Amino acid sequence: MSESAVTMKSAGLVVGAGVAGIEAAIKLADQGFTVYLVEKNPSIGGRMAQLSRVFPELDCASNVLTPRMIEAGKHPNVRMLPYSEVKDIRREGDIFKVRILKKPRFVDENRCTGCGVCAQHCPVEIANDFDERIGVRNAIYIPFPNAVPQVYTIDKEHCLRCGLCQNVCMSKAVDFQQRPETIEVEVGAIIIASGFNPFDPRKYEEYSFSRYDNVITGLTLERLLSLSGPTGGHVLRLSDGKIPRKIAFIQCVSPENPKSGKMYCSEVCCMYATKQAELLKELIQGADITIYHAESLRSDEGLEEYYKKARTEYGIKYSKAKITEVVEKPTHNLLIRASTGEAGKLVENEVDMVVLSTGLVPSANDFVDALRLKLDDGGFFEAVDSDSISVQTSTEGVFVVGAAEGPKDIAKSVKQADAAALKASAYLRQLGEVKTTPTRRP
Amino acid sequence: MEQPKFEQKEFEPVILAFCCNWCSYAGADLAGTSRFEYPTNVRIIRVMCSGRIDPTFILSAFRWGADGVLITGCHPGDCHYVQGNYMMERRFAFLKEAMNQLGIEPDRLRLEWISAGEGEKFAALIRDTTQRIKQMGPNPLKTA
Amino acid sequence: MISGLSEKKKLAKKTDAAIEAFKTERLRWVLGISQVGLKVDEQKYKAVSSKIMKDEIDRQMIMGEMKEKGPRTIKELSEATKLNTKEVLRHIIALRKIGIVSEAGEKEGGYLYKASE
Repeated sequence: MSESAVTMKSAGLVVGAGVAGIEAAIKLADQGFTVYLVEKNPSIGGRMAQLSRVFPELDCASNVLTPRMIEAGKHPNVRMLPYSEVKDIRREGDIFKVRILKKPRFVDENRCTGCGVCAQHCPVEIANDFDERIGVRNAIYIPFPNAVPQVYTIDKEHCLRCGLCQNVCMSKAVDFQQRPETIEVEVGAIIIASGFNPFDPRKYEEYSFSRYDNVITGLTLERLLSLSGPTGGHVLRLSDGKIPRKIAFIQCVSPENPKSGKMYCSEVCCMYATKQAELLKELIQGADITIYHAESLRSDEGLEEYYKKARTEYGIKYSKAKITEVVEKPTHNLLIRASTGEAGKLVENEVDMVVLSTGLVPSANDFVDALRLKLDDGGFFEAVDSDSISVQTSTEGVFVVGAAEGPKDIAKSVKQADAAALKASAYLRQLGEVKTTPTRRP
Repeated sequence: MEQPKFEQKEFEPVILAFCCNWCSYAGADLAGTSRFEYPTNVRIIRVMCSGRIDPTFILSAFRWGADGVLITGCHPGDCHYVQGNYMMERRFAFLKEAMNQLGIEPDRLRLEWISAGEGEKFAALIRDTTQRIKQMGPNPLKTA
Repeated sequence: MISGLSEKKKLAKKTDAAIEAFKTERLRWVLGISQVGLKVDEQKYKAVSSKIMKDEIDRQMIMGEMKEKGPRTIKELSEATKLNTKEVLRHIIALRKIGIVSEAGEKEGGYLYKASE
């Protein structure tokens, strides 16, 4: 790949290839710019790939996401850099000099056909992060079936170097000698789309998250609900495989603002919990679901209607209460104790399963200091412009989209990505020296 | 032949001994020609190398009622096929663990190195093994 | 003496499962690499290989139960194999992934699993 043919001022960098990063990369590439799309995981797709169905139409998440992933992968102007991390960014005038570390897969991506025979034979089995450790993968693996690129990766930490994968690979793609590679690129604009991590609910001991098998997070429930998930879309209790009928959702499992002591609102939890509750009602006959929320339900355009539909058409119950304790019974059922706020009034409810609707926290980034980007109190990259869709960070030429800028849903993330691509495109053009023409899309 | 019901018949274990052709079987032969005595509880199975013994042979032996299994082979470094006895040694550790998991006393399985000249050692080994297995009692999987 | 007989039967089943486990490529290959020279450190190998052996024996027991008695729930498999339900579920998830186990309806508040054809 010859980089000298591309002038830096007609190139952009997108950090993170979740739904927002993919959208920004495609839109910027459409404008004729070369886009380096860097993703730390072996495949692009981000958190959305883990979801079952998406609000509000309950479309299958991968039906929506996969075509975009494929488009980003084969776009003539996108240079996809999966399993890579941005290590350092230096600014010299208008140019950003970016150092990217390409991690070794120990599989030659030019030879691997994604056939999967290697994983069929690999003797090592590990709980996989993609399925929130409910499902399993091998030491040589692909993170999920419709990964882009369709290339396997060897997890060095768990590999026994037994060589069986190398023996069975018909493309001779396994290469234990592979080394990390450092790539240096120069770009004129950067779009940060590094996304989020779910908040760790162990911070709230009263929910007993790590103690009891039947207290799970919303993301784990997504994996159970997914048809391509570890249980084929069958929701069951992790303690004993029983089908849960009485289920409680606990909302507002988010970090506290260290300055004000108040809990952050992660914006999407009330909506996704309601979505999951509806899916459960359809899946499990006689399901009895209560959504407990300590703060008021998030109200936004259309959400009030959504909650009303959930109550009236699906029979989902909402209870404003603060959960004070979750206790396991010998049957592995869970007893929830909650305070409704009325003086001294405590309610108890025995359920089969508890789902903690965990909030969104920013994912770690190595290069924040390098760019001197301003972060908000929650640690998200702050967008400082006052437009209706704000994407401009405190540094000129650097934009931020998606959950990296603050918790938001998929629709908002995509809109933000479009706005950022447009702004980045305008910014790059006014830098001058644009040697590109917009690419026609078939 | 009818046994009177009040007579306690002493437990006579059935012990399978795998012996490798080049060293330990020759050692067993020497024990015989030298007239070193050893109990008749042992059934010798000759294999070309201790490395030929598949873990499933040993597990099957216990499955079908053997009270003890003895594996003998060449001393380390003397294997006719160079590496066979090392392989058996590795397998042995695995098998002990498997027996633990199943609930069969791991001491029922024993591995010893016998060279072609160690006739007396072979006889002593059989005597000792028979004695130990007798003390352990019959294999729980024994058919009547 | 009935309990003695069923104890023996259970041990026989478990031993049969162990024999089947030692016939699988997975266990034989893992055992094999220790015989020809390890490329990772001994402790890591021991931990992983012990787990693989235990898992394969337990999985053969679970498959054996399903083949003998037809579709089973997790509770039924747990009772028959003496493995706790959480363990059985973990095995079912893994066996399902490689395609040798599939769902076969519901029973008594749980899903039924069978050995795939």
